[in-house]
Amino acid sequence: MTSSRDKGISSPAKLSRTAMLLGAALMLSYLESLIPLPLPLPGFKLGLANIALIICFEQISPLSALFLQILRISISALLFGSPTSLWFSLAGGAASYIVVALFYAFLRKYVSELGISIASAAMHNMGQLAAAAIIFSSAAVFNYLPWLLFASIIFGSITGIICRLVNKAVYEAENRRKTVIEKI
Amino acid sequence: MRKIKPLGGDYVVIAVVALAAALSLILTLPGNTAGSTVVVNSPGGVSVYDLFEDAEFDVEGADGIVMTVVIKDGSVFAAESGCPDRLCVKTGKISRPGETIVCLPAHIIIGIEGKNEGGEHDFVAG
Repeated sequence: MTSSRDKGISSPAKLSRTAMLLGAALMLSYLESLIPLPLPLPGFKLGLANIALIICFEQISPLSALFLQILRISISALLFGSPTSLWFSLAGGAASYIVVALFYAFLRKYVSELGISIASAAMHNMGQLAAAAIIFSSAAVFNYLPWLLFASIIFGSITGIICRLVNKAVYEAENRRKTVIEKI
Repeated sequence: MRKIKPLGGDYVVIAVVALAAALSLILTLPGNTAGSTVVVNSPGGVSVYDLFEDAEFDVEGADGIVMTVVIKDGSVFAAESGCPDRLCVKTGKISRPGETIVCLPAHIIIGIEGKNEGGEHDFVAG
């Protein structure tokens, strides 16, 4: 199984794809900040921006995904966040980047976007809680851990399914392009 | 062509996260014992109130956010808050040891402690 990153896509193509994904990630972050959550779970988010991160891992490269994650967090904190929310997103973003990177490095054969997305959502929440525990210097925030983990399974599945549909559509489009080029 | 069906590892991930959730739920479940004190942890420091003495006071949090806390009939709730998401107000009343009201933007945690101080749950104040 060869992924698109092994097919010698030129660097400008990678760059523009990463930039497009960054734009999409920022739009998803904004969309997320508009949706009020009915759940009394502090720090809980839908994790829509995770979709862009996983697509970037799948189709471009871990390094591009790292740039995407850092830029997405800093730009969205500047645009829609507060100084406090920056620390929470950084902790959550770092945790979720690391877990997705580990899955892509070692376990991608056994786990699809669905499982990766759930693991990433769970680690994002745990990273945020750890940041909150440090900022509050209190472990009481961990009372929310079970609910955040249950929520990660549900919302991680939704974002994971979206990732898989997008990745599949992109691979099919690439295959079509390849057959057209072969015919010529 | 790549597969669309979930792979075996996906079920493992779901099982591990669900197990972690269940375990942490058991560990953090609020006790059935009655609480006795209210601990308010804010950037200004930690203060302790009697749960059975009705009171209403303002707590100053980070970024100039002020939260109005009400203690009434053995339970506590955030009546009003200047924070953007107001999750603290939506949390509603808490009365059992281990339950908490958290306001992330204001850096305020309100917790209930039981009769036996410490040990009962992981409320590390300070």
